[in-house]
Amino acid sequence: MSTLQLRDVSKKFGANTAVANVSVEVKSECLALLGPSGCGKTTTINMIAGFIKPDSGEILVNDNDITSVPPHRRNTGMVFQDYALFPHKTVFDNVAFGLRMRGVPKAEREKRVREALDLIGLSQLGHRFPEQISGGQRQRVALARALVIRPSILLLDEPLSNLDARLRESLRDEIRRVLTTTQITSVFVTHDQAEAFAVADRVALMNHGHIVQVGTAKELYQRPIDRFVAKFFGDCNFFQGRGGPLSDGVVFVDTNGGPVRVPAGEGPNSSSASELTIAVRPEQMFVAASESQGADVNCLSATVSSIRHLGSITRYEAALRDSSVVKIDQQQPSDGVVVGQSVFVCWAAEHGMLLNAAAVK
Amino acid sequence: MSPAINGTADLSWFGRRSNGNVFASAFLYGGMAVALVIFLVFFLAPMIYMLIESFKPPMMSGEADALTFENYRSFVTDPLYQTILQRTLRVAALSSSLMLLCGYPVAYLLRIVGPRTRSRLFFFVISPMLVSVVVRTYGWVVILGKEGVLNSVLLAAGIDNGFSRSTHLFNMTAVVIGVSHVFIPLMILAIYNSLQKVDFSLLKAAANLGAPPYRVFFEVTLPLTLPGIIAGLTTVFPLAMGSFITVAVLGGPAVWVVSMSAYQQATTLLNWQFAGAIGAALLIAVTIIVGLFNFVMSHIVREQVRP
Repeated sequence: MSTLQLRDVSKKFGANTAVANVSVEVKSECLALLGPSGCGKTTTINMIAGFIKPDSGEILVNDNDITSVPPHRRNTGMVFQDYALFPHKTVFDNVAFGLRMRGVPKAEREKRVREALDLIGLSQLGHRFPEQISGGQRQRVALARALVIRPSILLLDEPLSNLDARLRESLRDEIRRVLTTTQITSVFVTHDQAEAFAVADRVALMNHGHIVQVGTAKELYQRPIDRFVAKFFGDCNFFQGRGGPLSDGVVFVDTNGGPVRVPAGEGPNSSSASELTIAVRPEQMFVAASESQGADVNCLSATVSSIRHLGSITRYEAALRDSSVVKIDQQQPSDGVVVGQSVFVCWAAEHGMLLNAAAVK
Repeated sequence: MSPAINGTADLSWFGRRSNGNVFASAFLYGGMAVALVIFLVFFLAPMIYMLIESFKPPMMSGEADALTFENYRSFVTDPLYQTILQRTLRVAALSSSLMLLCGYPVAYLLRIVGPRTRSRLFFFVISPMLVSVVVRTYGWVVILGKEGVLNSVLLAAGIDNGFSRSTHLFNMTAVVIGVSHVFIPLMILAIYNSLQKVDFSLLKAAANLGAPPYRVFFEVTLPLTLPGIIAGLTTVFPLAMGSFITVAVLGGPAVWVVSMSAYQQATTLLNWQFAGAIGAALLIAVTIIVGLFNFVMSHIVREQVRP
């Protein structure tokens, strides 16, 4: 299986930095490039395919530098957002195109195209033209066309964003199934975190041309390194304060709302006696009328400022003593809590996420 | 006129049957009447008049005004006119091909440059059309003449031979160049129009699948722009067949074409009847050729480019 490496790849368009010092390695897995629009993910995948030349840095496939190899000699297979099926060729000829360009003999070509169409369940539609099949079928044909050439790297550029919600989900699972079956090294560009988590083994979250954090879905959700990552995967409450003594893997942080305990985590995060930021997700918190006792629960006194029932959850907003507002999502509303009441907002210490101190601004 | 309801625009102004709205109907039918009158007066009437004349015996023959095929018979049977018609076809075919070969790269350039460069280049493509055909043609006289720009440049470069000492006018080459120059903007626009509809991601997809640039062109770009090529050829070919001033100035008697015969018959020999027959024959020839071409091409395109 192939290995794709990006080393310090950068690209500027005029004065705009599209991609800045991106380094990442992908090996027999699917890596999702996730991020808001304009974060550089599309530029990155286009550089891997060879459509955009990086200003600096290297792109390697199996340790061969392909940075200056033209697209048609890179052996990457790309699935485009708008399918990019050749309208003047049948489904069969679309899938056969890459094999024809490689000079694969006719008999083998036909066999492989048929296998590829079988893989995506469209063997009956080979004679149709792209405009005679549905959007979901078109994208599956595009997937087959990219896979049939047995590319070293499969590139998927927002392949699901032109499809309606229901199709998107089924095709997402289909892509996942095909990627798992073929074990192909692939890069999947998306702005949708659910898509990224459902399809990819690892996710690289990008922002302003940088990869902010790479990890599995669980790692990104539970151990975000900064506010951007924490907020990207859902609402978050942030508490800042000076780090205190470290004991038994727990740091005491004297936040503006009061002292709290937080798991120290690993690496540079555990540096104490500096300005630290803690993130806590609203759904991990609860409102209590009295302070919970015990080493494993943090409680800060607050005043309830609003209560909204949002169907399955109840959202509280409470002002801490420095008047910063905390959001709390509870599945069961707390009995007897009314707006204006003095309460405690609490969370289990283990749910606190210590962010990279360097990212605190 | 009822206001738009639920955000649906009221389109009755634009040709849809309006629900008995007097003002809108009057507007619609009034406009159609004007168009019809213009069509009759400027397009149909001269054509019918020419056709009627072409079936009359030549005025100078003194015969009665009985309708006759005599004019057509002499056009078809006279070997002189067969030669002239063949030469005309050659002028049209060669210049149409030259326009295709030169126009396609220009159209492609227009497609790939940025919007600002494109609008500037478009100005250069269109600008010759703002100048009279006569002036444009005399431009070629200045370039190709015996003491013209081309020979001056050659002599200045030290190339002094029979070629650089003789005129390059009054031959097929000069005519083909001149005619191509006159009509090439139409060819460029037709091809550009179809290139514009070619999604660039298709070219990226082809390259990604292993096609080197020339194969991307012949496998994807060219087949997808065939409709534009057909439209361009069917526009410029009849124009080239019928072109008169450019051929007369650059070719002279050496490149005598059908339109020149018609002109001579009508203005010099005052044989309007025969001139009408020549005009009608030209029209028929063009219609047959373009019709056949379209018939053949539509089958090729149906194979290659599904609607």
